[in-house]
Amino acid sequence: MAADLDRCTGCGGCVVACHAENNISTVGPDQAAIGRAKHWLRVERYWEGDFPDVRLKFRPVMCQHCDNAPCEPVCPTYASHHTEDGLNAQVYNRCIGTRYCANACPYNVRFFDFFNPSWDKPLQLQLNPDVSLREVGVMEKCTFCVQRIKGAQIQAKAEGRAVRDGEIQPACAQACGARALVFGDVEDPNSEVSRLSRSPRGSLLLEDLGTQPGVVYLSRQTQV
Amino acid sequence: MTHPTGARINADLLRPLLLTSWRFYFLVAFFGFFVVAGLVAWVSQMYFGFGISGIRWPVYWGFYVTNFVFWIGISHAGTLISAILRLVNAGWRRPVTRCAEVITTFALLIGAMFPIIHLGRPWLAFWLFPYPSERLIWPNFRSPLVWDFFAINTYLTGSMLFLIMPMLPDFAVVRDKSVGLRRKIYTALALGWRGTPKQWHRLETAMQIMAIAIIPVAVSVHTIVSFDFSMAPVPMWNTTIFGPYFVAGAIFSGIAGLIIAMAVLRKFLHLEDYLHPVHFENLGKLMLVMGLLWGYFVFNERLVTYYGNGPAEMTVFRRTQSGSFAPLYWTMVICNFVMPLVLMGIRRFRTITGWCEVLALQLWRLPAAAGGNHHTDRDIRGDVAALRAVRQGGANHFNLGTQGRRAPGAEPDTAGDGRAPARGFEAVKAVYGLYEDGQSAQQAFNRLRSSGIALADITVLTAQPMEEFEFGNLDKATYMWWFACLGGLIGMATAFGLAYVTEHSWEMNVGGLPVFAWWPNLIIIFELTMLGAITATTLTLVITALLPTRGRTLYDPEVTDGMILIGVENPADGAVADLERSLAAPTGARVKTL
Repeated sequence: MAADLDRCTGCGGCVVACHAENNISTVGPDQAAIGRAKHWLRVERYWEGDFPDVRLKFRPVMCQHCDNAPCEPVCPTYASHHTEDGLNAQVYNRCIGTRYCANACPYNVRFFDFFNPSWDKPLQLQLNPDVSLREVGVMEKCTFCVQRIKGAQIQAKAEGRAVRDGEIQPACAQACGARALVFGDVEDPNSEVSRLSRSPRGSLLLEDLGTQPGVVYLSRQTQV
Repeated sequence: MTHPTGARINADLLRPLLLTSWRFYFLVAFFGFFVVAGLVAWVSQMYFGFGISGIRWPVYWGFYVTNFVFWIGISHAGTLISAILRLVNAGWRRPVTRCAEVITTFALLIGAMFPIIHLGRPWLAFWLFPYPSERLIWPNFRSPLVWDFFAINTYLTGSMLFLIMPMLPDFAVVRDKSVGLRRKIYTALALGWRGTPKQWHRLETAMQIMAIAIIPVAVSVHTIVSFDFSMAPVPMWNTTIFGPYFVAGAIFSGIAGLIIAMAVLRKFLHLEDYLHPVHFENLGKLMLVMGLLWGYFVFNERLVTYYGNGPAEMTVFRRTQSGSFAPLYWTMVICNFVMPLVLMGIRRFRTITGWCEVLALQLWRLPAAAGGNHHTDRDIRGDVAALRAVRQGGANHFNLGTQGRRAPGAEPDTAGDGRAPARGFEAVKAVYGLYEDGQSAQQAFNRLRSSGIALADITVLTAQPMEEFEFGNLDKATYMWWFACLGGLIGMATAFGLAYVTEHSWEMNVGGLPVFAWWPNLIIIFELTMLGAITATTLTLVITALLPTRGRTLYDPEVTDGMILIGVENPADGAVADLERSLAAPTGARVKTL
């Protein structure tokens, strides 16, 4: 995935889309206040300069799907593991809730289910049937909307073709009005995401940790 | 200084076992209340959801893991210390070791409980155990938590055996002194212990092997506990110093726990004749050494961080030195380093038992190092320790020299005569003599030998190893070392099989890393090798030395009171009179014929 920070307006549409698509339960104001809100995708805000000469930067941060993910080797039950597609997957059924992965993750994008999820009626009717609900005691995190990836792959296979670039859209990318988020196959040199990730503006989050993240951020250019 | 002997020791040490006062039930009720409260808390945590624990993002490890580290640390009091003292043959260790080993076992049980309480889904904790299942998945041998699982299980098994093995002769004492149900239980526990030279030698060898095996296991356990932290790329966690730092801290707090327990036992069970101030003094010195070592590690960690000047590390550094975690941090330094240095470095303070109640809870390192990365703006996690040290000065202080006056005159307890032999030792036809000291026993032994009795036909039973006499040196040769090595090899092969074969049978995608990883698996291989050696040693001891002696064999309960028994089983009918004469020759001998 590539995230163009020049385009990001910080509207938070991606966060809402993510919650809706992935059946992420909201925890209520009390729990959120003590830091238990679950946002697989969050928009970080950075203020630069002093008033009135301030500049605002937004950075959407989701699981970076590292190639060399610190969360994977520490999981005792292989709940956090690598898929053939290069995704950093979380298997809820295997998770016993040691929360080691969340401690090891330098991006703080893994979330723990402190309670069983609940929805105020009639919100339970809008749950996405493609995404499993997580019970209390497991870790969850951004999957790059793996249900959509799998769906597109099955569709392409049925039609006897390869997956087209841009065919797979995670909910966040689909909802992004400014088209700041672009998803695709970086292995394919002709894909949109490959083109963007070759940009001189591109950088990786906490690159010096050697985690080899799968998300490229195109940095905000200096305002003239 | 009088050292109580024989029957008096038995009487003294059995008193708390055979007589139970209302205080005991009161204590059980008092602490049982806490246990029940803990259970209620745990059940409600499972019922209402883990959220009631108060743990939150992004510090997902909190009180439970801290407690785990603390108790595993306390457990290093015992087996490790007692193993080291055994290997260096420190004579003063004997009264200390049992206490230390008991602390180890119980502290480990408490410690091992916390990772399970800590789990989000504790009912699935058994998934850490490598067993073939319908899930077709094995535990991830790369995970430090799986290393923990193996290391703690090995240490727990080893510590329990290390505790129980030298207790066999003591179980025999209780067996001989008690009646009713208690006798039945202790007869089973004593595994047919009689006190033959063979049993004493085998036990001694087994304990040597165990001591050698348990030391590296103990070191590995706390190193692996430290790996839980240092394997994660978290600033101030991800450091190479954590292994020895944790081990030093563990032994440090372990000794403190041991001293406290000893002081309490001494006072309430009136064991002043057994736990002398010299024991506290020596443990205090040991603790001083560990305190210095701990201080060295802390200084090293801080200084290197400061010079390295990494932005994330420095954030944590500042928080702990002068920020929000500073009060805790400096309390830790004062209580763990400054106070022990003063209290134990200065002889006048060290010899006072009063301070011994002092230092306990050092290793309460709230396991939370910092993030504070400029990108993620993560909350600071405090890499800090809390410590409580209560000085009960002046309460009970007396100096070394007064001990001689405090010891009451030792009067041997002679009430032991005329008891029936223990169950399991049914009467056999035999002639034997009972002797109060080794010299007379040796005389009787010599006479038997010169009257043509074969070595194999002479039964020798003693209440303690008597290697300074010939009769105490029978049956010394053993293959136990080889069996231990064999057990180790089997353990090693098992571990390799578990790790290599299973990982290749159910290959997981591990992100381009090798399916079988050597370095992490070496840890599993090491732990199971040690477990194999420990198990093999125990089995060898039980099978070769203990089990064969059950059944119809010569025994007299007076042996456990310190008498030495020399006798002949199933003597030829005509020889009985001769034997009786030989056995009665030394002064003070009492000959019995069955």
